[in-house]
Amino acid sequence: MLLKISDLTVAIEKKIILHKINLKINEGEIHVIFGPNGSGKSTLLKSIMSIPPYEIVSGKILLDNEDITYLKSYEKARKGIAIAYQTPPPIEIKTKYLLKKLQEKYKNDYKPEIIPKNLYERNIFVGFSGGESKKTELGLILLQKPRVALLDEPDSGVDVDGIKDVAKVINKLRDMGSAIMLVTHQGFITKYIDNIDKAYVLINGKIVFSGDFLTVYRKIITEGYREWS
Amino acid sequence: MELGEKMSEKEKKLSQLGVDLSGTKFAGSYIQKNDYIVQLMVKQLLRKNNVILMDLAEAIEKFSWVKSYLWKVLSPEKDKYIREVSEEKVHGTLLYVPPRIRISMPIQSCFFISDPDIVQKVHNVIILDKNSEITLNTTCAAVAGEATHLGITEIYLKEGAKLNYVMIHGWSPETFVRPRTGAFVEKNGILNMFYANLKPVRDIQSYPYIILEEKASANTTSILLGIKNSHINIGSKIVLRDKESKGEILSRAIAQDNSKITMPAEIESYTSNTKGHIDCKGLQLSEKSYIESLPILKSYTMGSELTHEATIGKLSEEGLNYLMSKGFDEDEATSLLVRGFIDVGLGNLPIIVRPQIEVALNIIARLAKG
Repeated sequence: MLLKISDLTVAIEKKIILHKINLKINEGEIHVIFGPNGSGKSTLLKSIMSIPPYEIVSGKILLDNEDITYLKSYEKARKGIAIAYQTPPPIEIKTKYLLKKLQEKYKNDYKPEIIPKNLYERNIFVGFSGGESKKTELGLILLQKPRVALLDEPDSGVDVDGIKDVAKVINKLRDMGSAIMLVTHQGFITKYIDNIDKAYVLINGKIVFSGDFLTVYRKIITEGYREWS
Repeated sequence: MELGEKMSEKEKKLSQLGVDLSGTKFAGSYIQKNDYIVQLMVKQLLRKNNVILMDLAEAIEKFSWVKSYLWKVLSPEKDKYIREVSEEKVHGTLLYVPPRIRISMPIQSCFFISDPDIVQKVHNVIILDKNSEITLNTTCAAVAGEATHLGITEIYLKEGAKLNYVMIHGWSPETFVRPRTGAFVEKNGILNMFYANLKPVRDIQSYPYIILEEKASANTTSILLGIKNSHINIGSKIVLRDKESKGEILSRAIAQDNSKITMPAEIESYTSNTKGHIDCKGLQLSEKSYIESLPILKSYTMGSELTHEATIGKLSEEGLNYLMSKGFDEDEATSLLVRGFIDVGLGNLPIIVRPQIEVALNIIARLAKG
């Protein structure tokens, strides 16, 4: 198993917000995490990545059987885990400069086509539209060539054509062998993604349901999340 | 060129600051160690265009007209450091560019202190005649213990002349530094000044004073890095004396350790249809650091447009966390954010000097630690 999460419990300011989460994913698989607003989807991805202020209270995160639970985010990134933020923060660094630094860091000269060229001279995420932010963030993920990609709502705030572009990147990542954990709110993007292996429903910080993607998706589309709330 | 027997380590330090000891990258080179000249190189490009680059003390004896430019824009009455230099015969550069001569290859000057207890006194006079243009790269450094540098620079830009003036400082933690710069820019003249401080310094205070005639413009950019116990007080004053003159003062200060940085900036307008802008930003990287921003705008008549913005803050934690999630450790992420903070745009400077400035900015980003 590439990534295995066992009984992961996470708190923020001592308040438990994720309860005993269990997930496992293998190379080339795509798993989708569904859930209503505030259910803990973003928290889960950020906790896996060790992004403050979330604190892992108990449980384990294993990457290739190596315990990486308490590694810092940059150490996890260097081990092959990459995260795409739902809303990346505006930073006063030219997009092209960060790209160059990431190319140096990950020792490749890959220039992600999905990042619009007109954004290269601009400070990254400063005044970007929703679509521009998502495309840029996914471009950076591609450059990292991750073993595990944690994608936090890459479809929110993106128009239909943009969603197709985002889905293409997800398919490409999977073809490269990355394991993908995709958080999505309403799942429209899944229409354009081939072969989704598994889906989970996260409600109030707990995984309340899991199964094959189509079963879970149809249930959500027809019944919403109320049944689990 | 002979810089002295013990220079190899020191040469290395100078090279790191961008000094080209071979002089190949420059149309001319003047290097002064302590109080004597160790290199004066005037290439054919300058000679054939009658550009004069020589020791000021020698120039005063050789050309009677030089005296008419001395102490005109900086009066010895102004402060004790100017007076101290004015009372002695000191070395420094005379740079004169004849009318309509535009040289794109930069000229280098370098003033460094190689031994402790030295008081280095320098007087430079830069004269650009009508519609001429030149780029001057000046590096000042100390590679010794306690020492003092008093550097006077008088700049005279005649009608339509343009000077790009890049200054890189790399002092030692024990150096006391008092540069004094004055500039008079005639009608349609352009003065672009870029300054960066890369190393710790005991105490530096500088406040270039620039007077602009009709349609003249001046741009000063200062990138100040405060490390250890450095006391840095650097800014500039631009006087918009005549109509349609424009001035911009831009400063970025990064204070870490116990450093103290003051950024004074003043634009004064005496006529209508002038424009002035001050943009000062400070970034504190330690609890014990101190930053002070002092923007002053004065208008003595109606119709000038003067603005300023000033901020002091710390590194964005959100930005730091984001960059760390991309694989940069805390120091690397800090450097990236600092590099972004000092990325002020070099569009007003010629392409040929930008790589050296980029190197200086990268050094600052690398040295900046939270």
